[in-house]
Amino acid sequence: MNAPENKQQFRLVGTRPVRPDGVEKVTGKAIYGPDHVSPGMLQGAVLRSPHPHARIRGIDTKKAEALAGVKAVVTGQDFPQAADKLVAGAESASNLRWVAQKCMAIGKVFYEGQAVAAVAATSHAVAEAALKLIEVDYEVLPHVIAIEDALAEDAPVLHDDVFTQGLAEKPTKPSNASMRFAIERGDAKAAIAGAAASFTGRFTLQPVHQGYIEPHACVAQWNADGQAQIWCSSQGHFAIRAMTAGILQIDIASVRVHPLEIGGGFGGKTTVYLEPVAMLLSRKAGRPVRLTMKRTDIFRSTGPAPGAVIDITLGAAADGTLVGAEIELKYHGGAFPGANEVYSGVGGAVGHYRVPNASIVGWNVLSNIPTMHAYRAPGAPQINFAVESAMDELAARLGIDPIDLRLKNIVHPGEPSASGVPLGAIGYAEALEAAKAHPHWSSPVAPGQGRGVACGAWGNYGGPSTASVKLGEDGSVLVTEGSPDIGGSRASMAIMAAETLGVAYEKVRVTIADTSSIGFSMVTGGSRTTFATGKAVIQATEGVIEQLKDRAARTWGVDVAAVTWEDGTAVHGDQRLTLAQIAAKTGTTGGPISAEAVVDPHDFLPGFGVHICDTEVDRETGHVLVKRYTVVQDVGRAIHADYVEGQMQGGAVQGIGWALNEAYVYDRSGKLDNAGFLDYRMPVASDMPMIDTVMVEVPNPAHPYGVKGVGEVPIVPPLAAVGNAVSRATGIRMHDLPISPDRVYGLLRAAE
Amino acid sequence: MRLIVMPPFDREFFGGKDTLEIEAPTLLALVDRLGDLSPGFAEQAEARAAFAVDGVFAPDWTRALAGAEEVVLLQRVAGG
Repeated sequence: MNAPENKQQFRLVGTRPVRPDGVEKVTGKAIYGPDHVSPGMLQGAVLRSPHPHARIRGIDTKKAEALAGVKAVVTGQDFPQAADKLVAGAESASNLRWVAQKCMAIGKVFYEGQAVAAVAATSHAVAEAALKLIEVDYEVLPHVIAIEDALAEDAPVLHDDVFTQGLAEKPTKPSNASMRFAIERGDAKAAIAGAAASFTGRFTLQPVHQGYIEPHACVAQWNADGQAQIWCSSQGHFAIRAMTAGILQIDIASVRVHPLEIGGGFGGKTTVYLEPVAMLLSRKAGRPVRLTMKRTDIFRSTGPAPGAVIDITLGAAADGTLVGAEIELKYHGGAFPGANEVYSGVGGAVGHYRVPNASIVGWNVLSNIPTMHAYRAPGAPQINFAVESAMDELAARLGIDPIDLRLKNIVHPGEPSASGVPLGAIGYAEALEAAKAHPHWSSPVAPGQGRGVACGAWGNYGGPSTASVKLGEDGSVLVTEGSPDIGGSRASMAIMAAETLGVAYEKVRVTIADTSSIGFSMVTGGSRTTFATGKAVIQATEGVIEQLKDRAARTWGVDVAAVTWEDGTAVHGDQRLTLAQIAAKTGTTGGPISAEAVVDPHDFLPGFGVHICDTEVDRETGHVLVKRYTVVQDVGRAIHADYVEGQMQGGAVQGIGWALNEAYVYDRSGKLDNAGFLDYRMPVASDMPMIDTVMVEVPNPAHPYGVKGVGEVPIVPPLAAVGNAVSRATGIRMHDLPISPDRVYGLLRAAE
Repeated sequence: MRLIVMPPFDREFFGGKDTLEIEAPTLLALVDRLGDLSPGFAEQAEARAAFAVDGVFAPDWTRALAGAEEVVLLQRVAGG
């Protein structure tokens, strides 16, 4: 085992205290996106296109505007005509030209469900009735959904001004292939030709949704003086502010976004769909306006993860050393350019292995479906399904244990990462060793079952965060941050502040502040918040400690350099003042104590996971049952162990759903056929065994408590872990997701 | 100083060259010089580009490059 010994022990870090927002959430008192009410608030509704591709010749809203109770109607004509403009707010930039059209069609409809008009009225019933009075004159255009169809010579081209980026020569014809991105090194073809074993295959996946339970919802209030407020749940209210202000061409300082509790995002709530529309309705109506998506709206109009077509050849020497990889991946891009899953798909394809010769080419392919959006490790699970399936085949062909094959080829600290930057203190080998030593791996495989293993990685991130720490006069502690709490970050921030200060966890309370009350903080995404916002909280806490030591020193009349801070107490020789004692005297020692920290750390480290899956296949029905599942992951160091394990379990379950059940199904007219949870089958608790977790702790030396991101890695390996398990149970390689009963049944019958 | 240009910037802006020898006092100045080499790069850099200096990500582009041996220019990639 490579697992580190003599790990540093902490008083609170790594414990499992009750989350501070738990009672409000389980008693239904927490205010989520659809719950907020403003005085005089109107109800909004959105008219959506029934066509996947159409030109809007005209929209007649007169009858709707005349309906009693209707206070405002907006269409694409009310949107400022946004030209190409990149706005940063998350890890990568968004082009407002395309973001605006995800909110409202401007002249042309690119997918079924795209908004074409919106109404604000005194009741939801009146707003819905008004939608029926809006007359849209469509010129229906030919549509295209599937990746290969969109690349065909005779395919309808969505945009006449989108040309393939990344080609050696600038193209002269517009194309649905909006981008080519490639990484080439060595001579992959020659290396594979000389390999002792190789595997070639095509793998396909369909778009899948993040499946957050809470719908998109907001209330907007845009006053006559130009100042506005928005109440919404999101993964980053500063990003909501930037995009809304950018699309509406108003000052960022004129928009104040209040974060509400968020009921799941998984990457899908890092953009705007409703907020600019609600703002325009509010300005016209002169009153606050609420917009809430129905479930069918969410499926039809928000960004899922891309479907994919992936061709792969992987070659290895007789001892298992990988010698070459040739991969071409084509990802759904959706209606508009800008989805960046292809970057991570290409960059991370074999980034967790040493492959000296590689040709990896990726294409972003536009078609008449919603524009793709981030979903937990965006772009990684798809390519990982192909790569880890190929690794499984190579292991079988070479007669090498699948974990040993991976151990032989993994990247190590100091070697180049997928980005070209050398890897730091990663725990990939430790995670694989822990998986190999786990009782699951060594237990016998039950008759009728198959066991699969797969690895996966994600780069994680840092980025800007702001936090402040203030002392109450009674010695209690207030932490304010700008990062929405999605996975329990209030608890993690409280633990880190309490650990640093040397006080009890219960003495620290954490608030998520609005955009006008705390400095900029990037989205809660990219597995960055516990790392980056945690650094801000620790730094602000250290600022408070410096002030506490200074107050004690001045109280005692000694040099502050001679005062130490130990377990929540200022110490100078035999003299001691507790935090509470100092806080009680702030009125006479210089005033309140508080500190703010703004950080932009980039010394984050990637995470690595290993998943083991046992499946049982019903050979009569094709139904696959997951019987046992184990997640092993290098987590850096767990701040709140429950939430780290929860991320590992949640990511695994979402990946299992992707593998077995989930897929967007379009009919021939280009309409989504399963836009609801009854037909879009996500796993529920009764589908799953207990997901066992092993936290391997190889701390990040650049973080005071060793934090690495944990939220995204666990969705990367499950697709292949399940696929490999089913392949071993059936003796048939699973190339296509989802591995649904009808598909398995067909494969089993064909093999008979 | 050696500049490693990672995809897609190599093909998109620098004619497929993945290594450039270039001097600049800071990363900000480096962006300007790359913009001179390839018009359009500087305008997109802030939103799309990331740099690592001698193996360490460098979000502060005022960072001095004196003594630096290798800078990697890479595309930002969003997480979920």
